[in-house]
Amino acid sequence: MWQTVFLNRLRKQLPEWVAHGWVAPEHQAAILEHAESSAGRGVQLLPIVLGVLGVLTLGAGVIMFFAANWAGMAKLAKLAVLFGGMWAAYAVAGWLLYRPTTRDQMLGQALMLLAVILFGANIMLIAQIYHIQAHYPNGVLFWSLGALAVAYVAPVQPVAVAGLALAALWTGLEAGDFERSPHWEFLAVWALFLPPLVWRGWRYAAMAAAAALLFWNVMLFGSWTWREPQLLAYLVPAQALAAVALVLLGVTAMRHRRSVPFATIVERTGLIGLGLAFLALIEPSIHGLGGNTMLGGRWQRLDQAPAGWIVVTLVAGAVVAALAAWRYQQQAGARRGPAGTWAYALLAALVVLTIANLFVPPIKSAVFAVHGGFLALNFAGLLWLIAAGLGRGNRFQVNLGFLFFAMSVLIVYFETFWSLMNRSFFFMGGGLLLVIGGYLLERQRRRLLRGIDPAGQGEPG
Amino acid sequence: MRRSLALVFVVVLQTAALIAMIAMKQWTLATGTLIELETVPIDPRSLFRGDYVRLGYAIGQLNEDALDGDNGFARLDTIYVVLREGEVYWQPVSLHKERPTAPPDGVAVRGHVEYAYKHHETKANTLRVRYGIENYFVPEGEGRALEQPKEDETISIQVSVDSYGNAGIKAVLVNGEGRYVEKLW
Repeated sequence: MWQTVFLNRLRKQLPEWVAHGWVAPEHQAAILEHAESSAGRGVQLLPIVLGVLGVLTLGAGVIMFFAANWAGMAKLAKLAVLFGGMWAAYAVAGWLLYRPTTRDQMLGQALMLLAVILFGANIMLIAQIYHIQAHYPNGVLFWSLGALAVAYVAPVQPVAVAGLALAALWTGLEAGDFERSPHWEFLAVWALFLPPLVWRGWRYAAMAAAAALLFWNVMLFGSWTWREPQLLAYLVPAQALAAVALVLLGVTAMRHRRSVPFATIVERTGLIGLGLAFLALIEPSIHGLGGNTMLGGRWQRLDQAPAGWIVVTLVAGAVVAALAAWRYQQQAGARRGPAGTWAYALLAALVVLTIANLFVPPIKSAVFAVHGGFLALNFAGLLWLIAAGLGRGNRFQVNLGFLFFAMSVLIVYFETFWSLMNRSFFFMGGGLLLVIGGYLLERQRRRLLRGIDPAGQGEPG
Repeated sequence: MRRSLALVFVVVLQTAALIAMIAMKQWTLATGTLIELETVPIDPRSLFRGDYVRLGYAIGQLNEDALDGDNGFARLDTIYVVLREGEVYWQPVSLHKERPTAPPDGVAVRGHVEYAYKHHETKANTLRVRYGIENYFVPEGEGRALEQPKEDETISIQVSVDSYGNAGIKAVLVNGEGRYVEKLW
């Protein structure tokens, strides 16, 4: 129906566009012919939608039937339903997937996802039938590994996305409910998802992997905020260096044909991670300086950085330096604009500051200086991000720069004025800052973005 | 053909894993030593949720100072509790960080420390321990009878403890008689 509406509108408007000179008269017929043939192909969508709806309705009916009679069923009958349902979903999905028509592929993918969902349901229901109460995050891990196995053998991207989401849930439960942080095992499972994702070129799964990795980092930060707040002064700079390494890997990967589909995702994950790390680093409390909004405002800087953190930070700094040198070499001979030079200067400043942070004496003035350095680096970095984004025609970078800029301003406002101002003035000031600052920032952002192609992915930086 | 075989292999693997869940539980129930545990009321707001009963046990709260063996347990530690048969119910004798050799007249059951705290009245180092037998699923609507037994009813739980210390509920007993008895099928 929508294609018919679109075609009618196109037929009506094309002559107008020709009259305005926007479309060459000789192209009018070709455009219409192309649109009509595309619309003809779209008709096949209807049976697919009806098929998926049919499967879901049938599934819902079957589930409701068994749910109503579950208590009265013998264990053997319950097991037959659980295993039979899962096997049937796998069998039909496999049969459809390994036939070559596009329509069956889509339905096959939906059924394969259903089969993986049923595998998870079976874990929970068998645990219920046999009163199995193990360490419950293991059930989620078990489910995620089941999805991982399917992702290796079947070309079904949603299964990989679901598996990664389950892995993230698993690490969230382990870190949140069982205080297992850092939960290194997650990284092992996460890494197992990468091979099928790379060789099949799954971009959505790559985004899910990126989101899961960011989530793991946020959980690490969150759980340490309560358990080991003194170590945040070393954890967050190391996280910032790791994020920079991802950014550099991403921009470097853009030069290699096989890694191009993932380069943007890796770079953006690094940029988001870096932005989040700096939002924490501009908080005085992270450095043990007290502060207004986190960690109870107490001075809690360690006398000396633990040896392990010195090693971790130095290794991360060396990796960043090596990647930057590699990138520099890649650009040898190419024209490097001011944004490029600025980027290397910021990188050097970050590495120097994170290393200085390790050896700063536990005196308030010295730690204040380090905090001030991170604060200055944050705003300089955000200005660079916006400028470089404009230079590359990269809307994402510009938008991200504005977003983190606004959040940074709010954090600084909270930290600076929370204890200095009367509460009513504080909130009135904050409100005005949000309204006026938000308006001005948004106006500036729109003005700057006007010159960028809306689909702008940007050039390699 | 190769791709189909790989998928069949994964499905067989998943099925085997699910069957292993059942098999491990049944192994505990079939080979373990049967003990009887006293249940105690727990927070009434969460005693019954949906169609499963939450069970509290007398051995779920242990006075570290009054028992032999190791001490200094912390939250989320693994703990082995040696139990010996009492007059009616099995009673804790000692606490261990590593799996001990169970005495001939006792069993060592494995759990994990949910909380370690000083009791507000006795000031004793107290451990709240979970053994993986705290929930029991019952048919819809039957949980309330277990949650609020009649005056002349005593509810206890028959538990099977295998040689590794794993515990599984074998039966829910009302006045010593099996109300719900676990079977494979």
